[in-house]
Amino acid sequence: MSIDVNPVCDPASLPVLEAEHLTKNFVRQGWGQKSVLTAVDDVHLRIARGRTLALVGESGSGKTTTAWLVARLMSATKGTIRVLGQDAPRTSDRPGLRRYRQKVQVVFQDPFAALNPVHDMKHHLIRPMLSLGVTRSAEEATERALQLMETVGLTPAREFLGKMPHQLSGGQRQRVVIARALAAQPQLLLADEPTSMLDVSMRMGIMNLLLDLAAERGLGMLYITHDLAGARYVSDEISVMYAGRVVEHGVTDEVVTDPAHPYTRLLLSSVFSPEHRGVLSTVPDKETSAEQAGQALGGCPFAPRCPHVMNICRQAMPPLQKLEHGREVRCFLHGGHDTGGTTPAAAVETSSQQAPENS
Amino acid sequence: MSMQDATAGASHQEAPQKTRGTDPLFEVRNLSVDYLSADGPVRAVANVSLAIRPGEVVGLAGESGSGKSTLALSAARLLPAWTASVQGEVRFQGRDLLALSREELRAIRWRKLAIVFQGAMNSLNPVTTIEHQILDTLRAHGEHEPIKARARARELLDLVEIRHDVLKRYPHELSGGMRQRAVIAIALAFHPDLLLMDEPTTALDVVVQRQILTRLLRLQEALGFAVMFITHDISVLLELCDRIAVMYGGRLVEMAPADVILEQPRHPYTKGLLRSFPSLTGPKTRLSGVPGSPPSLRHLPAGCAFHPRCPLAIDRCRTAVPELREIGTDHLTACHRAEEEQE
Repeated sequence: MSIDVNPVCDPASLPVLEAEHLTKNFVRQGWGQKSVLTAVDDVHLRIARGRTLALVGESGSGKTTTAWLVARLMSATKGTIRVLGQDAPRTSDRPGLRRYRQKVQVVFQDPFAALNPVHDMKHHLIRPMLSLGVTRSAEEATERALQLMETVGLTPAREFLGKMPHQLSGGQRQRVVIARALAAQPQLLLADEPTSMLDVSMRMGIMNLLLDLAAERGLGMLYITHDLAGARYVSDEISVMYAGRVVEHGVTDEVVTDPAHPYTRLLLSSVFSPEHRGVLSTVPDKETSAEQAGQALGGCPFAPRCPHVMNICRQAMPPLQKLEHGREVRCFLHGGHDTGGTTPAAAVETSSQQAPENS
Repeated sequence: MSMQDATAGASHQEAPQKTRGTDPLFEVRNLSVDYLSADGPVRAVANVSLAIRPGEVVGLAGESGSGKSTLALSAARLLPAWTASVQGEVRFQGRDLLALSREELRAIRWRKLAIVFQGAMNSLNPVTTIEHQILDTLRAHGEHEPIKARARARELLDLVEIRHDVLKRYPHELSGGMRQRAVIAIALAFHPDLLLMDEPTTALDVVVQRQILTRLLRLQEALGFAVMFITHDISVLLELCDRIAVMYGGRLVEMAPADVILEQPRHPYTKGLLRSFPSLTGPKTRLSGVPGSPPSLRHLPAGCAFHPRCPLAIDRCRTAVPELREIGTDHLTACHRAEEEQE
């Protein structure tokens, strides 16, 4: 399947990240039996310079696995990953990984686990610079570490450099984790739920910091979250994942205001907000766990929960359909099939376009 | 199963009535809790007073370390005496819970006042079936007839919309959402008048969270129990609660009806909390959140605990603790500058 050139990216510059057909199978073995769990299934990602893609989904949807594959913390079963046009190294290629880590850095979910409790902040910032060859001397590294601390808002920087992890709050630690990621001068930042472990009053500070860094430094960012409102706040584009697949992709504001996939609609209507007050909206959902959904072999994984389910949904996996403005949806409602009048607007729109199916 | 069936099955007592009178069902008066530690006592709740009327849904918002869970645990007398000292008064249906004997307390707890704990999905016993655990609770609090108890267990599952075959399952066979429903079913076993819920859905996915809370609120409307809902997520409270109380550094800083909290918050911390949740539908504006970090209870700032993070702090805030006082109908706040025209 060919990748559509994204209308929002500058065609002159290479995308920071381009991943195609990304697939990860976990093989479970025991008692002579063997089962395969496909955690990530044929996922495509494309991030341009200075832009943020939010990867949204419930736990178990494969979003963190996707980030690990891109970070080369885990080898993919299938698929290609290119960063600035260059193929990502194999996970066994240590010199290659070292070069790769200068371009791609991760901000982990848990700032309490991501810092070594026996080392001070200076160590955390200087070590990646020296080991990745960003700076030559320790003095230069210290100078840069001070600048980084200022960048992430930990002032007075000199004082913070001497602190140990236990002396910092969760939000401050996450700032150090971000500073450490920046120490390698990366082009691509993978942020895996960077605010979910933080106290609520500090989350906006971290989101704003990441937003500003992406804009100022022209970083590409993959922002993983289960919080749709947060995703809307930080991202330019959104990919919604369900059971290992991207079921909808598009420009953030368009996806949020006019979701095309029934799962995206379910997610959006589940978000708590004062505007829903007094309505006690029932989300039309059937009692199906994610595990059961994964067992819907052959068909659309969302079919058992889908309010618009049709016969074809249980038999075949819907292909990724291209709609307007770079929107992509993996749903038969948008394939020019008879929808039974369930989602008129979007379905009619695409049926007139007759988006071609992929082989 | 329809709502009507569920409520008919549930109300084997008198028909529920939703009286939101002025007589409080549950009242905390000047409650202070000190955790006893090797370095001396740490005050986790400082002089908190609040009341819940019958059938009312009250939200308690605050960050970790704000004292919200401690308030609930101490009010239900679940903090052992060797870990914490509790002063003040907790009145439930006219009786002081803190003064009751163990036996008297036992008659009230679970029958009248039930609790869903934080991480409740993990509060089920992993080595026994769901049915065993429901029957256990029923037996422990006075339902000694096995046939009645079994029938009641099935009724309870209907209430929270779980299939009956789940009774024979073990907790690890169920999803987090199912376990949470089972825990809520157990909490509702005796028609409590008050349900204390401490972060009941924090670990769940958003779709499941919405389903469980919607179901719970439907039950609340039908059965008429009161709820104290503790969470850090003020957007959940703004949608679901009648009134919201906001805690910071162990103190109550603001309390008002939910729409007042949303539209006319007077405490700078409440305003900051509201600026900490991006909107899904509103205009895309930059949100500032709250600068700085929450205080450690061991080293609370002098005066108003919020003053180091407060944009409005004046000298008085650094020395004098603001008292919680009424600044409007049913609207209390603890800020020296609450009456001034702000922003």
